[in-house]
Amino acid sequence: MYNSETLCVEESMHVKFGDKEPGSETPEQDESFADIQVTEDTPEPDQTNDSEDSPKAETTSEAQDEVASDEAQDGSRQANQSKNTFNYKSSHPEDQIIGNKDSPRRTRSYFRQEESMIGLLSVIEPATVDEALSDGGWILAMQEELNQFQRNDVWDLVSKPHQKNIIGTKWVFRNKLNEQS
Amino acid sequence: MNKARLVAQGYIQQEGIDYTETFAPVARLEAIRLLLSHVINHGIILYQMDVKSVFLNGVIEEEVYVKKPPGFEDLKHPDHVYKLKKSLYGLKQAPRAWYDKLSNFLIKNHFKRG
Repeated sequence: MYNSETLCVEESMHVKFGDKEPGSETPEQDESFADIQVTEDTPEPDQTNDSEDSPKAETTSEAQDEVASDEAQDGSRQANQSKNTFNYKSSHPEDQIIGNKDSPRRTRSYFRQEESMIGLLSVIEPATVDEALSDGGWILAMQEELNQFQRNDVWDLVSKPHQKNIIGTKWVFRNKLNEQS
Repeated sequence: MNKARLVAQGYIQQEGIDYTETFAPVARLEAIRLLLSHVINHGIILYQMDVKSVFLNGVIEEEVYVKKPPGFEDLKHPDHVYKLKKSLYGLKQAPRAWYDKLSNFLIKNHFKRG
C-alpha cells in the first residue's frame, strides 16, 4: 500500500474490501480491482472499473498492483461465499506484518524528528561547566562571550547589595553548524 | 564552531521588582512575506542584517544584579556580584530592552512607525 503521507510503500492490516452490493453484479466480472481502500476517506471507485481506471491503481507500483488485486480477488471470493454477512476482512497473514501492528499511526513529523537527529550525532556539547572547563576550545568560547560583555559594557562588579534579588547565571553550550543559527 | 552563551536565570525575577515591561513585537512569517512581495513590486533593494549578541545591546532600566559566571569566579572578591547595565539573555525584559533600543534608533533616523 502506498502511503502518500510518508511516501513509502508499506504493508498494512488496515485494508478494507468494500464489496458493497454483491447481488447487483456477478463477482467474476470485477475480478480486476475491487475497491481496496485504506481506512481513510478514499472515495469508493465504481466496481466495474478495471485496475487502470481505479484511482488507487495510479499510485501503486506494478508489483504492488498485482499483490493488491490478488488480495482483492481473494476478498471478493470470500464475499461471494457469505453474501452480505460481512464487508471487512483482513486476508493478510499476521506473520507477514512488518513491525508492530498495534503501533499508532505515524505521521511525517515522526520522520522529521529522525532527520534532525542525524545532525546531532556529530555534536558534542558539554552538559556542565566543569566539563567545558576541561576543554581548551570551550574555555576559549566562554572567554569570547565575556569579551563580548566587555565590548558592550554590560555590567559592573559591585559588592553584594543588601535585600536585593541576585539572579543566577548559567552557561549554555552550543555547536553551531553555520553562522546563522 | 563552539559557542558559549551566558544566560541569566530570569525565572526567579519578580514582576514589579526586577522588571516591569516585557512586551516586544516580533515579525510574523506573514509580515515578512508581505514585505518581500512589496519589495519585488516596487523594485526596492532589500538588505538583511544580523546583530551579534543582540540582547547585550539593550539598555536595562531596572536595578538587576547577577551572580558571577560559573567557572569565572573572582577569588579576590568572592562576595561581589555584577550590576547590569545592559540586558542579558534569559532576563524577562531582555527582548523589550532591545526593542526600545532599535525603535529609538529608527525613529531618530526618520523612520516612521506604521
